Amino acid sequence: MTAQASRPTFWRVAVAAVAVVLVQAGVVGAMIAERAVVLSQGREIVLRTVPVDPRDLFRGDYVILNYDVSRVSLAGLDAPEGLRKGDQVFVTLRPTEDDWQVAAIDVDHPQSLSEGGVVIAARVRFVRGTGDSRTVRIDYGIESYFVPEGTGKALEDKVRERSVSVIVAVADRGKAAVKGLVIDGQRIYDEPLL
Amino acid sequence: MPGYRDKVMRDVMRWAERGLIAPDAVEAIRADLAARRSGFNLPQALALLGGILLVLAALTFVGANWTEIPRLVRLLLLGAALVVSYAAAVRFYLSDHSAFGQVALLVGCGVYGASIMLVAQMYHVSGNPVDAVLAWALGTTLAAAAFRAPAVWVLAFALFALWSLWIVRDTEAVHWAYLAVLAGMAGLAWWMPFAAARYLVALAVCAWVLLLSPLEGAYEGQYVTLAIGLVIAAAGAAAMFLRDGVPESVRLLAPVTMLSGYVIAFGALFVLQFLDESQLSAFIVLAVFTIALSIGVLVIGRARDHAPTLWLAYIGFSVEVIGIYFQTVGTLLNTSVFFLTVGIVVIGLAWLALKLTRRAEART
Repeated sequence: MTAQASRPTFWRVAVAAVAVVLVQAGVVGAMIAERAVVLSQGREIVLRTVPVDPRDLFRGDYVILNYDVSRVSLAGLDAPEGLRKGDQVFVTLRPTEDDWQVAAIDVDHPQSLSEGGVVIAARVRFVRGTGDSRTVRIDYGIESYFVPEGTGKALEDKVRERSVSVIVAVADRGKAAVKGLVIDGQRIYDEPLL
Repeated sequence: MPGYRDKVMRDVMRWAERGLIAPDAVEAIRADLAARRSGFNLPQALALLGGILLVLAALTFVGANWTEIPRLVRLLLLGAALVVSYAAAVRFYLSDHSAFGQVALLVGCGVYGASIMLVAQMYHVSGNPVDAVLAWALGTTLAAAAFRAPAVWVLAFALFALWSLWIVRDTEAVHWAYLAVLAGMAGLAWWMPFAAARYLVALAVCAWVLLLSPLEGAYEGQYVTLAIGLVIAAAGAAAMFLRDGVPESVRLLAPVTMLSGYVIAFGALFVLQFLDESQLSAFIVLAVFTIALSIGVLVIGRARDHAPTLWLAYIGFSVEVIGIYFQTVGTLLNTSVFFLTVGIVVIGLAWLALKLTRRAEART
């Protein structure tokens, strides 16, 4: 820590402080606004969760959610050749009778969309195997559900019983956000912030 | 540095006793040393620790996700903490307590990070914390620049390092953008000015270059790394021997550049010798080269009277010798003969150095 040579003037310091506060608060505000828009304007879909490794499931303050569409076999699927760990992709989901399944994986946002489908921006966590027998693990950014400290256990049991689905809002450019949960057929939403 | 002051004063007292300097000069030197005291004093160090604890409090407050307080209130609480932190920083800077001001700024930037965490938690944003850490690092850099605050610069630098490591882990590829970030942070430190930043930047450069080869996944890559290290070391060493009219900046950067090059070259040599499968003949060449390099750095450190260079060279030499011992124990190469040879060579060098010093002294 080196001391400043001369004493700073009030205006110089005050302007610096106000600018930093405005920018930092602005960044946080922009993040909230972006999420709020996704939640309020996004199309609602309901994804079923599948149990994950029980040791990993509950992390103190949040529950890890895993979906049928998180692990994708590329056999017979429209997917790019050189998928790599860490790649940003756009996953097209299409509805089945009671859930959703992966219809296509693209590097760019697809131009046209099949009937009833949605596109979610995602990231490749890893690729296993080669050629047509590849399986891809995909992160959609909706794999965490934050719970009050000490209440994760109950939700974890419900996930293991396969009775939890997640309400996801999907907005423009594939942005997705967790809107709420469906537990034993009952919808639970987070209160909106305002 | 109280240690330095005590040492100088001991010498000064000794010189005064022998009549080498006047008693007036002793008092003048004492006053000068007292005026030049820098770094932390106890209150500032305690304030820094207190500030770090406040940041941890903010982060765990978010982590606990306490539902008794509505989310909006929690967000407003953090916003109020943000404003209070920066107001305190203004207060301290204006009353000439810039060290305390920096602690207040650190708390403010910690609260900013906690707010980003809270938003991620409120909206169940998972997976990639990469963007969140980047937003935190950028906001912190802004605060460091606005107040020219070295402590805040260090926090921003650490956050950028975390960001880059996360990206490398997720993609397992070379993160080129980090070089631009390093250049920007180095430029900011230059402008502030924050001279000690050069050590952190050098450390990050070393880590980045050493990660190149494993990420590219090629055996020959270590030779490229070695070449990069040697070039950097040679450039730094050459700059250390520039004589007259050397700008202060070059004088400051030369040793740290040379040592970075040495660390990079040593890292590559270490991998080639001990972590990769190498032929015995290649191993011997590499080992001899590593020892020669370490001795070369030692000689430069001695010639320029630069203690950190000496220490790093000693450490490098010791690590190398221990490595050779473990590599060769019980193998074809007779460890004892190797050490005997190296020992004789090093003692021979010592003798040569003695001769050269004598000759130089005789000339003056």
